[in-house]
Amino acid sequence: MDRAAPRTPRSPIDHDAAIEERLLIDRCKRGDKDAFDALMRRYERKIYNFSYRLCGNYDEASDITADTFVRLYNSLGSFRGDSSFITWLFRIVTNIFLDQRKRVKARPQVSLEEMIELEDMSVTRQVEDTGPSPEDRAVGAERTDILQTAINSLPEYQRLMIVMYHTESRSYEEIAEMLDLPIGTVKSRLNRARLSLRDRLKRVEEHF
Amino acid sequence: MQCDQLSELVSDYCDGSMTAAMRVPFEAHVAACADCREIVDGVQRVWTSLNEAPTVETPPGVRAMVWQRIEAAGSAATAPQPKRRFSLVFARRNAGWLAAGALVVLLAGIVVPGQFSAARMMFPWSLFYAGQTVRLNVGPVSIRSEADVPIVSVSLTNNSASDMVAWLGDGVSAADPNTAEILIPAGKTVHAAWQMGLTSSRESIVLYSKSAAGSGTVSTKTISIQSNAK
Repeated sequence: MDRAAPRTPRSPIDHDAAIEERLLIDRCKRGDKDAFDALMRRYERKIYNFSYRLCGNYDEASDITADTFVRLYNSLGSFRGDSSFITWLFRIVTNIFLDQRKRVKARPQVSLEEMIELEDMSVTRQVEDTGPSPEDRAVGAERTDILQTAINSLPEYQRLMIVMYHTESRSYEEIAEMLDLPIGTVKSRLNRARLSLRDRLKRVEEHF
Repeated sequence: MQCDQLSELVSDYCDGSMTAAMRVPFEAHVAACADCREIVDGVQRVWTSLNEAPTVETPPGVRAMVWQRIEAAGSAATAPQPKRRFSLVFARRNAGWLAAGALVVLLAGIVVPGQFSAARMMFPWSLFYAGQTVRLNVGPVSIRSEADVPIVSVSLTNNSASDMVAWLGDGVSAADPNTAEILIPAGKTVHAAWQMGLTSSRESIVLYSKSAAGSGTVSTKTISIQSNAK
C-alpha cells in the first residue's frame, strides 16, 4: 500500500517538460494566443478529470474547466512561479468549484427530467448530454460509478482532498499549499475522508 | 494500542509513513482485533480503488468554449462607454441546453446607452420548473459602483413575473416583489442574482438603475417560452 514519493520533476524528461511549460507561460504573458491554446491542450484533460471527480457531472466539469482557463487567461500575468504551475492551476479549479457549490446551495435547482407545465401547453425539458455514451459508461463502469457516488457524498473539503491526493497524485504538502491549511490538518481530514468512504462503500460490499 | 487510536493512524499505515516503532504495536493490535482488521482492510481497498479510478475523456469543444467566453468578456470590456458611471460585468454561464428541443427560448432587446453603461450586455440566465411555475434565474452579475457615485440602486423589473427575489453575495439580503432593488455603496462591488416566477409565456425584464447622477434603463430583455407540444 506504500505510495510513491512526492511527485516533483526529477527525470530529464520532466525537466524538459518544465522548461517547455515555462516558455509557454512566458509566451502567454506576452499575449500569444497560440501559446495559450497549447497550454490548454496540455492541461485540459487533467483539469477536466479533476473537475469531474470533484463534481461528478460531465456538463458541470466542462463548465468548471472552461471557467478555469478563462480565469487563467485573465490572471496569468500575476503568476510568478512561487508555486508550481499545476498547483496554481488546481487552486483555481478548487476556488471555482467551491464558488459554484455556494451558488448551487443558494439557488436550489429541480430535476431536469420534470415536465414543464405552462398555461395551455406541456413540454419536457431537453438537455444535451455531452458526456460518454451509455455504452461507453457501461463497460466496467459500475464499480467506478459507485466509487464516484461515494466521493460525491463526502463534504466538499474532504472530497477535494481525496481527489487531489488519490486521483491527481498531489502530495500532502501540495494539498496544504493549495488549500492554505497545515499539513497535519490535511492528513487528519484525509484520514477521516478515507474512513468515511470505507463506511459508505461497505454498504455495497460486493463491489469492494 | 486502543481501537480509537488505530483509526486515527490507519492512513499513516497505508501510505507507509508510519515509523517502525509505531508499526509494531499497530500490527499487533490489528492481528488481535477483528473490528480493526476490518477497518484497515476496508481503507486499503478504498485506497486501491481510488488510485485505480480511470480517467475520463475530455469532451470536444471545451477550448472553443473558453475562447468564446474570453472573446465575449473582451468585447464587453472594450465597447465604447460614454460618460460611464458604473460598469456591469457579466459572468456568462452555460445555458446552451435551453435552446434545444421542444423548449425554445428567445431573447431580444438590449442596451440603452446614456450616462450608464453602454456596453452590450448579456444576462446569464436559466429557466427551471418549480411547483406550478416556470422560474427564471438571472445572474449572477458583478455590479460595481464607481468611487465618485454615492449610492447606486439597481432594480430588475418585469411585466408580470411573480415573487421576484434578489440575491446578494452568499445570502439573500434583498427581497422586494416587482422591483428587487439592491443598493450599492460608492466604490463597492456586489454580486447579485435574481429569481422570479414567470406567469406568462412572454416576459420583459428590465434592469433599471438610479444614482445621484441620474437614472435610466441599463438593459432590457424579452423572454418568450414557446412549445410545439400539444
